[in-house]
Order: sequence, then structure tokens, then C-alpha cells
Amino acid sequence: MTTNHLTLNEGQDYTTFHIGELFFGIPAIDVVELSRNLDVTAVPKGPSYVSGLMNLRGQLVPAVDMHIRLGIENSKSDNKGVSIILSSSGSQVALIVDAVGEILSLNSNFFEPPPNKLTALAKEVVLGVYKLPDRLLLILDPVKIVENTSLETSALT
Amino acid sequence: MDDNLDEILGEFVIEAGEILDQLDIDFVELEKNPDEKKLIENIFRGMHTLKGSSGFFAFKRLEKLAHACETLLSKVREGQIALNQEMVTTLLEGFDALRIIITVVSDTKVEPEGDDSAIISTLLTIANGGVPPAPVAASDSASLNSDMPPPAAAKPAAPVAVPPPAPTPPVALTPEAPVENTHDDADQAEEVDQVELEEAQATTKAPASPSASNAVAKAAEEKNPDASKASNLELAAPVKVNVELLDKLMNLVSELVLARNRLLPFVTDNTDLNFASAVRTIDILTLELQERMMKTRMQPISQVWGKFPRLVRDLSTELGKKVELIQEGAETELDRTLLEAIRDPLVHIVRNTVDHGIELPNVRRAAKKQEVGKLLLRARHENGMVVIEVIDDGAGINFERVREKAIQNNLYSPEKAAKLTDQELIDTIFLPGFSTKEVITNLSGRGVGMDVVKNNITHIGGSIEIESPRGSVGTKIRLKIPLTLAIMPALFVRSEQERFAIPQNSLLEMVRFDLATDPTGLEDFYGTPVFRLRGRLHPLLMLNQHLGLSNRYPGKQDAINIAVVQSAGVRFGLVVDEVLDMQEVVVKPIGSLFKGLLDFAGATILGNGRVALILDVDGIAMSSGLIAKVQSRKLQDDQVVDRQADRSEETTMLLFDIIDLGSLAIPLEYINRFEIFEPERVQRNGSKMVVSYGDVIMPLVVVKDFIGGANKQELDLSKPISVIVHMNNDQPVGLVVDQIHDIVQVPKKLFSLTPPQRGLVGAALMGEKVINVLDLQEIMMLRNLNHDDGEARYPEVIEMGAQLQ
Repeated sequence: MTTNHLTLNEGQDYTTFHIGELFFGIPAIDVVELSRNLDVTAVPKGPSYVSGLMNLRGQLVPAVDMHIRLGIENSKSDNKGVSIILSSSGSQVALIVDAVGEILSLNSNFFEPPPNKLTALAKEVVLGVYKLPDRLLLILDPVKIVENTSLETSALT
Repeated sequence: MDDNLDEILGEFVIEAGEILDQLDIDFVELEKNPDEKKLIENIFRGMHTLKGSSGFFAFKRLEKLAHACETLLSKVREGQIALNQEMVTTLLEGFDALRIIITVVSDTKVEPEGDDSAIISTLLTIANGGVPPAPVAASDSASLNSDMPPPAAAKPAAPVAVPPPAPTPPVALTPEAPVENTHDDADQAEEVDQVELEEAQATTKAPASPSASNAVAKAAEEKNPDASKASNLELAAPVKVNVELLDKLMNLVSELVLARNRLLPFVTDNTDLNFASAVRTIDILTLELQERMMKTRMQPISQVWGKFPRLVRDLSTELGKKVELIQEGAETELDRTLLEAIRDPLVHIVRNTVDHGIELPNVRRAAKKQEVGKLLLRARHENGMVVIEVIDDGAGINFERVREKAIQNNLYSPEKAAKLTDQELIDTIFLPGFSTKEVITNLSGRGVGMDVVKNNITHIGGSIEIESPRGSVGTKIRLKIPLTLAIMPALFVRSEQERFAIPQNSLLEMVRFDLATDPTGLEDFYGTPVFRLRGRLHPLLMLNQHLGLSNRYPGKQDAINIAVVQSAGVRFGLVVDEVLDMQEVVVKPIGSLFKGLLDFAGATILGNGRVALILDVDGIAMSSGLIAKVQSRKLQDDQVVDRQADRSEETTMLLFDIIDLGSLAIPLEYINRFEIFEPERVQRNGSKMVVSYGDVIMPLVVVKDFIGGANKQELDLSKPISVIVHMNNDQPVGLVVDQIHDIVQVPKKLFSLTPPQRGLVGAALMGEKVINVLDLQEIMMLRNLNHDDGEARYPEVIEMGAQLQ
């Protein structure tokens, strides 16, 4: 469903956010809400990129630490960041990012393949790159983010 | 089109199942009240509907069978034939055959091949006033062919009410009207009967003209418009809703409740009365909606019980017993998922009760009981649980038989079995591989024992108890089932900085184990730490290590908190940092991101909004490898500690504390039980202290006062007192001590004390530790001397000295 939005069409809205030095975008249609300072309860032995479970108004939502998920070093570890609550393939998931930017309307026809310098982990989830006047915007695939990655399968067994 | 047909077919299967269920219930009822016209009417109508729908799908077998049943029923309805038990049995067999076909239809969408001619001809023979062949024993109609009487023996005589089977009779699509007897058309009826009999011979022959049958049905409808209306009303009752839709609605309502909660504070900040009243209305509506929504998940227990009248009837008929089934509280509601879960266990229990519990009529007569055994099913709400009782007035449990069986099945050694109490024997019944019935009947002994029943019940957080007093007064089986699966009691514990919940149904007890005072401490069993609880070894798991929270291992001087838990495979101790409180928790799934993670059963949201994880004891036993370890090497004490003397050289003692004197012990065999009494219960009777204990007055003996060298102090009555109850000449005597610890194994060999100390018989060595053993005989003697109440009573001789060497 989400990928369909990307393949069609002109102006689609993307919620943008920062992780470390990088700038990312995700289809805004999948974003349910933004939230700050939600308590995370760690789930021992869970996937390393899942920092735990959050209580979002009575719903349990797993929180994905995007630093770990994308293999980007976290310089300021004490910062809790902002949670982007996504509704992805029927269930909700929270992406913990450093900061949220504005919503941009982009045409997916101008997406380019991801650059080689990205980490292997990031490549798994980056759909494409959009060249903004001053910087690159990396568009993420919301479905791939929560799929078990090569990174994690070993940790679970 | 195909999809559409599938959908209709699905509806047909559901409808057919419901009709058959209702027929079962109505039938057993009818057998009791054969004159109840309305029941016959209902049964007839149900069968007619079924026949019509089967015709629509061209399910020939169903249709013919249903038609034969209907033919007989119509005779009964018209009063031409009086219903008897044989007839009911035959009809019920017919229903069973229908049910089997429908089950296959629901799985394969195709009607199975098969031959129902035997049962059909039996039905028709009875319908025509003939004598049916030998009683048909099973629902497997194909095996009955040999019993089939020559069809010619049945004389087509009386007129038949119903139209012959047509490939697509319109009745399926129109509101049902009970088809009235077309008595004016005997010729046609006779022809119809002829056709049926030919069909009964399993020859395929085209049915009589459909148009004629349509005309008959229509005519009946016109004749009886009232009946048509009435049945329309009955059809209007329940609507079927997809369960997923219900669950979604449930979630939405929860969200609505939360949204309402956010709205409420605005009322206090806002002076607008209209706004306040609007919010108030929303508040009330939300509350109401929430309550109604909860109800949709609940279903009355009669959903499960509905099958029992038929079940009990069939069983008792087969066994030649007479059983009356009484239901109380059939309207008691519980969550539908739980209802599913208790169905099989309840069926098993009811089968067991009829099979093993209730005696044959002549046995009951001999025992001066009524011939008809009573089987009472009772359900009610109690403390947020549903209590279901199955009570019978049968023979009760044959304890001696259980004992023999336990020995026979190697569950216990003969010596051990001889000592088992009634309660322990009842517990034996729940052990795997136990069945007391000598001859395995096809009713009970199906290899499913009470152990499976117990497993199923505990799996959903319930419990099962059996009461069976001696003296042939019957058995009471009590099931306690939580109202809903989603809520369960759990104990919260802390490990490092995190809180975890342990479901209460897997928790056995909490033990605090002080390694500093315990000389044996943690023992090592092939790399797994173990600890000893009442002589039994339990492997230990450090929760913090298991979950990877930290590597901390308890030091030699630490006291550890152990949650003793029972998983499916092994009983073990979970070491936690702190024991918090017990709470009812709402279990929520933790989601697909954590799939493959065995250690957690789910999570719950705490009062402060934080999430806490719920431990899955079975999963932990599995993922830690404990189950594999324990199964590879049986935990046997003698393997563990070689230095320990042979068991027979040891004796079991109760360890307790008396301030200033330290640890003391008393052999377990002298102890009846131990109690904690609130200070208010202690009464002074002259210089003596007593408490009422059961129906007697029990004197209290402050042990400290009788031991040489102890400080004599008034008993501190500001806090509850710990009392060891000792039976002295059949009279209870309460020994007051400061704290009761545990039951330990100590060598029988006691060391004498030099100089001998009053009140002590000697000292035992437990590891490095010296434990003084009480001299009960001396204490009892001293007590009687001190409190001579005129009745010189000498203590029972307690031969403790004999152990001295």
C-alpha cells in the first residue's frame, strides 16, 4: 500500500526528520502522530534496534531506535528524541529520531538510487534519494524498517 | 457466482449446525414431556428447514435423510404415533448421520458418498406403524445395511404430510411455514411413500414431479398465514457478527473511553453550561457503550451445556443407568474464548461422572438411593471468577481402587501408596496416565485422563478441585475459571531496575533463602545452581542473568528471593531482587517484532502508564535450557551431594527460632501443623494461655520458658504469634516459638549436650551448623507439673532419647 504511493504520482507529502547528520523522509500518510517523552520499557533479549515498548494511550507500541536500525552512531546518547508513530501494515511502531523537520511535498519520479556511502543497514530501508537544493533527503520504506533484518535474526535465536 | 455460492453454503452449514443443536435439546426435553405440542412443532419445523436447504444445494443424502426424519415427525405431530424412547433413539441417530454429513460438507463443500438406506428405512418403517428392526447401535449407518428389513415389509398406509424431495424446492428461499397435512390427497401421498421406499433401497430414481410439491407447499402457506408470520418473528432474533469486527469495535470503544477522559477536565475550566451538559451526555453514553461492548464478548455457559442433555441421555441409555441432569446458572456468562477452552474438559468430566460416578439402578437401590442418579451442573460468579460445579450423588471415588491403580501404574511404591491420604489419592487422579476403570469403555477411557483436563484448565488460568467424602455420597468437582483470558492476577517482582510480572497460575510460592545462615547454600548440579526446599531439589535461574540485565550472581552472604514456579516441564526457582505486589493485569500481546522471544507472555500497562513485561514461565524454562538439562539428568538428591549420609540415616525436622536461643528443631513427626494466631485470639485462663482451636481449647506452651538458660519473659502479645501444634494424648498443645523457618533433613545421630540442658534432648549437626533439638517429653512433663489442674495427665512417652548415641 505504502509503496504504491511512491510509485505513482506527483506531489506526495513526506514527513522529514534528522538522525545524526542525515536527513530522512517518510510518507506522511503512514504517520499517525508525533510524540515526545514517552517512557520506553526495555524488552530484554529483543532485537537490538528495538529499544522497548511504549504505552500509547493503552496500546503497546514497539519503539525502534533509528540510530541502531540504520547503523548511525549516536553522539548524544542521553537524548530521548522524538517518536514518530507509524501505522505500518496494520500495526503501529514508533521511530525514535533526533528531531522532526517540516513536511515536504515531493514527486517520487525524481527519486534517485541511494548513494553508495550509506551503511549496508541503511541501504536495506532507503527507497531512494531526493536532491533538495541544499542537501540530500533519504526516503525510507516504512515496511522494511520493521521487518526483521539481517542484523537481528541471530539475536533472537 | 462461485464465491457467492460459497458464502451461501457457509451460511447453510452454520444454520444446519444450529438447527441440529436445537433439535438435540428439544428432543431430550420432548422425551420428558412427550405431550408438549410446541416442542414437536419446533422439531418438525427445524427438520423441514434443513430438508429444504439441503434440496437447494442438491445434497441428496441430506435431503433424503431429513425427509425420512420429517416423515416420522409429522406422524408424531399429528398424533398418529405416540413417541417412545426407541423412536427418539432412532431419530437422534438420524440427526447424528445428518451432522456427520454436514461436517464433511463444511470441510469439503461436497456431500460425502455414503448409504443411509438402513436408517431411512427404519425411520419410515416406524412412521408407517411397522416394527423397526433390531435397535440400531451406532451412527455409522453404512455398517447397518445388513439390518435393513425388506422394504416391502413396510406398508405404505397413512398419508404423508410433506412434498417429495425436489431438486430445488423453493421452500429454502421463502419464510418457513409448517406444512400442513394434506389429508385430502391420500393417493398422492401413497405415491410419495412409494417413492421414498424405493429411495430407501438406494436406487436412484427421479423424484415425483416438483410442480406438485410446490403446489402443496404453497397451498399450505396460504392456508396457514399465521404460522408463517410466527416463524418469521422467530427468525428475526439474533444477527451473526464477525468476531474480528467485534474486536475492532471493542478497541474503538476503549479509545473512545480514553478520549472521553481527556475531555472531562475541560468541563471544570469552562463555565459554559451547554458545553458541560454535552460532555456529561458523552460521558454517560461512553460508559453505557463500554458496558454493552464488554457484554458482546460474553456468552452464557449454556452454549456449552446445551450439548449435555443429549450427551447424558445417550451415555446413560447405553450404560443402562438412569440419570437426571439438572442445570443451575446456565445464564452465567464468560468470555467466549474461555467457553471454547472449557468445552472439552467439561464434556470429559460429565462423561466420567456418568460412566464412573453414578451407579447402576440396582446398585443404587441396594444403597437405599433413588434409582435415578442426579447430576447437577451449577455455575455462578464468585470473586471475579466463574465457578462451575459438577455434582453427582453417585458412589464417589473408590479410594482403594485409586491406591491399587497408583501402584499398578508405578506412580507410587506400595509402601508409599499405603500411606497416602484421601486428598493425596485425589491428587493422584490428576497424574498423567491414570484411569481407574477396569474395562476401558468407549465413553471414558479414551486415553484422555484427568491430567489433560487439569492441564487445559490451568492453562487458561483456572483451577480444578475434587471433593469426594467417603461413604458413597457422591463427588463434587469444582472448576474455577477466570471471567476473561485477558485479565489475570500476577505477582510483580523487580530484577535490577525493571519490574516484571509472574502470572499467578504458574507461581507456587515465594522463598527467602539466606545464604549466610544456610550452611549448604547453593549447590551445584552439573553447572546449574540448585537449592533444597523441603527435601526437594529445585534448579535456580537468576532472572537478571537470564534476561541479560546484569551478570550479578548472589554472594555467599546474600539473602536471595526465590519465586518457585511450575512450568510444564520443570519446577524451578527464579531468583529476583525484590518481591513487589500482586495485581490484576490486563495482558496485551507484545507484537510481531518480538516473535521468537519465548520469555514473555505479553505485557501490561501499569497504573503510572509504564509498560511492564509479563514473564512466560514455560518459555523461560525452554529458552534457558532448564527443561533439556533436567530431562537429561534426573534431579536426584543422592547424585548431588555425595558427602551426605544415606537418607535412612536422616530424619526430617522443623527448624524454628527462639530469640536468644537461636535455631532449634523438632522432629516433624511430632508436629500436627503450624499456625499463626492473632494476639486477640489468645485468652488467659488463670495462669494458662489458651486459644480456641477448631472445636477444642488448645493450651499454649511458651517453649522458651522450659529451656534452661533462656530469658524468661512475658509473651509479647503485640504481634501475631507462631505456634507449632503438637498432639499430646490426642489433645492439641500449642508450642509458642518466635519464628518458624523450614523443614530440614538432619542426621538421626544426635550429640548429647554436656552438661545436659533442660528442655533439650541433644544437638544435631546440619552441615557445619549445630542445631539443638527440643525434648518434648520433658517439656510436656514440666508443663503438667507446673499447671497441675488436678487431672494428672502424663505425657505420651516420646522416645527421643533412644536416638542418642
